[in-house]
Amino acid sequence: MSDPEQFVREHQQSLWRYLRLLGAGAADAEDLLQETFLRFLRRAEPHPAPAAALRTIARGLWIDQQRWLQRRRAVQWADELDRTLGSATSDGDHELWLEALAECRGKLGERTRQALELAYRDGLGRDRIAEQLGLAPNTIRNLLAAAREALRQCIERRLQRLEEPR
Amino acid sequence: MSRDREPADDLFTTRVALGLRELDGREQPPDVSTLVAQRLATETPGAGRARIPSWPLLAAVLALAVTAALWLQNQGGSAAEGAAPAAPQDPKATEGGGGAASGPQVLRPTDVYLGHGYVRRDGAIHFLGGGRTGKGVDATRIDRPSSEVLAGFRRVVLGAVRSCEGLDVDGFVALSEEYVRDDARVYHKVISPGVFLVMQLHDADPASFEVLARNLARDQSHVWYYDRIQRGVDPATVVLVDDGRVFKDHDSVHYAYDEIAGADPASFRHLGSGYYADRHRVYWCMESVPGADLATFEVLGGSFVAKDRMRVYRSGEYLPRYDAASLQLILHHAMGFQILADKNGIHVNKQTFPRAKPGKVEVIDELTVRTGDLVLLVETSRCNPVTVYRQGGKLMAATPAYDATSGEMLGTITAEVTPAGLVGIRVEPLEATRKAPAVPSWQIDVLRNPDLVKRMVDAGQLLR
Repeated sequence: MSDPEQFVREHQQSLWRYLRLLGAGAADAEDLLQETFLRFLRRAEPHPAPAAALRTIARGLWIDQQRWLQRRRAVQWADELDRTLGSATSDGDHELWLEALAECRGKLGERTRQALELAYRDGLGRDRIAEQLGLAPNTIRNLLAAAREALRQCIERRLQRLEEPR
Repeated sequence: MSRDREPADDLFTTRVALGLRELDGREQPPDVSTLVAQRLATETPGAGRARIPSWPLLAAVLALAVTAALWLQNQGGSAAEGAAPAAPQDPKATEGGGGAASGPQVLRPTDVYLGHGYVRRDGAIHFLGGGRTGKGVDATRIDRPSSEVLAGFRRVVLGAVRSCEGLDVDGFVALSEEYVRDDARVYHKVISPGVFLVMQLHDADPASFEVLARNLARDQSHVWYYDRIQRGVDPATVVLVDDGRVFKDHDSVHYAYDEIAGADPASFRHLGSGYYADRHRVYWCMESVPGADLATFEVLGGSFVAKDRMRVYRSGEYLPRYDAASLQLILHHAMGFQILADKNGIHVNKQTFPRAKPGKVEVIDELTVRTGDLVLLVETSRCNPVTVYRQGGKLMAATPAYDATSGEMLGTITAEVTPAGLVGIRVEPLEATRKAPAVPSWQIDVLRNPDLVKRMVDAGQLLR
């Protein structure tokens, strides 16, 4: 590897996202990120598929970190993630998805969008969101379920539109 | 019921949560490039330090050297008892510590080696087998964890924990890497990537404490799995079944933290990988394998694949399309896939390589085999089978198109392989008379992956 630093810079953002999607907290993800690159870069031979190999190493480290009883769930989750992401190891695919999310979030009603952001971006519980928005906790549950479904459909439609001209 | 957080327990919601954080500037990926390059440089031969042995190797070297030092002393030599040997000039463990990430850890000539990675240094105990717990000169000192490490373990893993502050250095005994004690208390070492914490083990009796396996221990009153007391397990009769993960006493069998319901402890035994059996049935981990024939059940090569006289199983799941009588394990990869052959074809996990017929199979590398005029690749992101072959002077690739939920094969995705990428991608039905199935675009994207295409092109060289 002629320039490991450059190599890390090229791949670290997408690998970071992958680790976070696997479920690693920010501190764990940073440790795993370093360890993944170290293990990859210690190889003597260049790898024909670096992005996929990095993911494979990161996935293995993450699963290895889980306690035994959590490992089966971690493996299932990682399988599902890999199925969902497919071969999309480039940042370009993720940027498209993010653009779709941004557009679809803008189409949600005001209260639905607020509930969504408080719940998933800010990590608040249902009761606190209910307090902030002046709604009942059950209403928040319904609002979030509707928001997820609306986002899911909207993002799928938008990504399909992008794929059609190919 | 009050909730502290709204759970993001499906993948889409998790992706939305992270996406929202990223869009609104709340998700900041760290730049680890400089740090990785520096860590790498300190390991590279020729950069001033030798290539580092893994911890078990280092431990073996140290043990040998300590033995030599003691022998020298007995012979009237000058080596001090227990003094760390001078032989490894700059030994550092970088890959030990139970898989934890770790930085350079230097053994000093004045260190007294206490076994299992622990040393006495300047009146304190340090662990040099990988990872850090404190800061600066206390990075490896076990009774001085940093507040961040302590808070991290409290928050993420264990809830309320107490460090080993107040540890009696003179009474310290390293029972194993995971369990240590002094005269008053027993302690357990827990790890997370790059860090560790040696914490107090509550209610443990140091006088009778005994390590049974890496993370299994007992005293006269309790059995511990990792740091937790296993209620209902009899310490007097507990025995290990498999590698610290499975253990039994006179009337129960336990898989990690849970009891295996209905298992017969007297006959319970390990068959290989995650398979176990008692006189009644076969188990995969904690669950019985329905329909398995106990008398003829065998695990293939320590892999997740097993068979009995009638059936083939993977991770305890019955694979109805595979032929037990002719099944052979070709390759078992540690990352969790197996290449198998039977009278019907060649398979990876639950999918079949297109066009591959039974015959002699040559393993090329851990992701590639060759049979006849085909090269068979395992695609790494999904463990998909990809067959590379030549047809009409063109290099071609084929992979199954399948139902993402059931895994049922619907057809075959084929394409011509060129160094610039795949061309002429088409989906063919299983039978020519049928319509081509609809395939999610991501299944095609998997095949288009430039890294995979390069491997296909390389595979073409094997077919010349």
